[in-house]
Amino acid sequence: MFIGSSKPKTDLNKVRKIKEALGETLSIQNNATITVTELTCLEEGCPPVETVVALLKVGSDPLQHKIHKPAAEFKAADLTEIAIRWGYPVKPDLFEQFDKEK
Amino acid sequence: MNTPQKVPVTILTGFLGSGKTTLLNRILSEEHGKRIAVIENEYGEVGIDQALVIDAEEEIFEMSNGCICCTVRGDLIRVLSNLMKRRDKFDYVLVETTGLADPGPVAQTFFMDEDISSEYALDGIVTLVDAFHIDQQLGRSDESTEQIAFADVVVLNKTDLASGEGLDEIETRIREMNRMTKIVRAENADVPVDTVLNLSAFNLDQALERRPTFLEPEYPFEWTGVYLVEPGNYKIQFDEGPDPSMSLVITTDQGSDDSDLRDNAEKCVRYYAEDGKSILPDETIPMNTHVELNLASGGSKSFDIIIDKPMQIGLYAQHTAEEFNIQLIKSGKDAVVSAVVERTWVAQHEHDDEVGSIAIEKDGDVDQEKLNKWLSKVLGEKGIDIFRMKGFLSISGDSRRFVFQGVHMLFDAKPDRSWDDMPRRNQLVFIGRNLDEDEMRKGFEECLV
Repeated sequence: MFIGSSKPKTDLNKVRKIKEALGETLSIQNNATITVTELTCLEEGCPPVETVVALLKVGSDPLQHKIHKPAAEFKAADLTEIAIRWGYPVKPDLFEQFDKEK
Repeated sequence: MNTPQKVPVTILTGFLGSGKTTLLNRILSEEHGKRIAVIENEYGEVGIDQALVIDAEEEIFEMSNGCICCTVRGDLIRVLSNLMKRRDKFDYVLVETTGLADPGPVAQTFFMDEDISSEYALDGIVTLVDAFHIDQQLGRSDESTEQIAFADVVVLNKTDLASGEGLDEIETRIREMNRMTKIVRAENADVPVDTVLNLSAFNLDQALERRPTFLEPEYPFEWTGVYLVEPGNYKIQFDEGPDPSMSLVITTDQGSDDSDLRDNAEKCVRYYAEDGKSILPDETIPMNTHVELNLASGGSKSFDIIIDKPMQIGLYAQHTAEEFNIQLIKSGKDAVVSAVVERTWVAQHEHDDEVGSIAIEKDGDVDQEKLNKWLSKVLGEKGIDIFRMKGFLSISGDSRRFVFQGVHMLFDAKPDRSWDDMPRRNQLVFIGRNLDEDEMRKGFEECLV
């Protein structure tokens, strides 16, 4: 989001896969929305791009979690971390299929 | 800034009773030839005329005039995602916000989520204002002030209920809060639909064509004339005018280019900050000094200037030359010296409202890293109070002009076109509440290479 040409183009296919994987695996209802936003991080020690994944439910405060990598580099372990932060009970291999899909 | 395939989005806002519902009803019923998806807020009072509905699915109504209407229940992002399934049925989106809402979070929706920002592009914010009640509303609520501050277009509605002079005062007050906005007058929200579409609000070149001085800072002087002079005595002559006194600074070794004029304008701001030395008619005006010319006596009067070398001088005056018929005359020869170049400036005036605009204009390049850190700091500390920002930036090492625009803490910047032969000029506008202009200006200047 900041000035300059250093932020690489977002992998939109991966963004959609992240949303599908989280939505289906966690049985998130149709009246909730998952957002994936890539931001440039200027804090020292941070990688240049971080991704915020948020769950917006009607009548509740948004739940969000930040992963310090672009969406294109997400793995199953990142989705597991997000689900835990959102308060969902998860097993370690819950998102195993995500790493297998191209 | 919109790529061809993104859907342009207008946010429509306005205080209760401003006429939003009337406008939306017109959009959904009139044969204007545009295919617009209207997203009304959950408290919306748009009464869908069932006779004009040709299809309804998942609470999305298709109207006989080619428009679509749906209501936000929950998240706007979900509605926008659902709409994309019907992408072939509309060319524009118009989102209505509630009458009491800060339009900021709605505008920010279009910067968040990579799917949404890849499909939609925020084209502009239109605020409807009730000309008859706006005075009371501005004094009573922050929301109405913010809605004007955010606007790219203000539709001053119900003008049939206010006087011409009253309308001029309202427009002046709106401009003091938001120098960038276009103002359109209407009765019964009867503006052409094109007024709220294809705003290209974030296309600053078009905005500059409309109002060439809107990005300029405000100065304590209104006019500058540059004159070529030889060693000897001159007189500055004044006829009677609108003021019994006038502030003036005469600069020496003055260049004629616009950048020279602006460089000395910045110096003159500092001179003007000091108390003006009182000068009576027939006395000599010192150079590079803030003076207060006494013009109280009737008829013409003049003041002396002594020139010690051939050069150009600049008169940075509180009033325009026209207001006093100001003339520079070579003493002895009584020959009027014509100005080499003249320029007017945007004059400072009192701000009654907390909300205002800061314009920064500086030639030269900015260091990308310093700029990002400064923006990060400013937005982190003052993001809540900064409603909009827009501008052009010249980044060191990059041949392209960057255009940026933002809402609160979120902003976007993209390369626009090559600078080519254009002067590499940074022009920034911030619209917000209680912004420290000196601090912002200084902070930006420290980003220059």
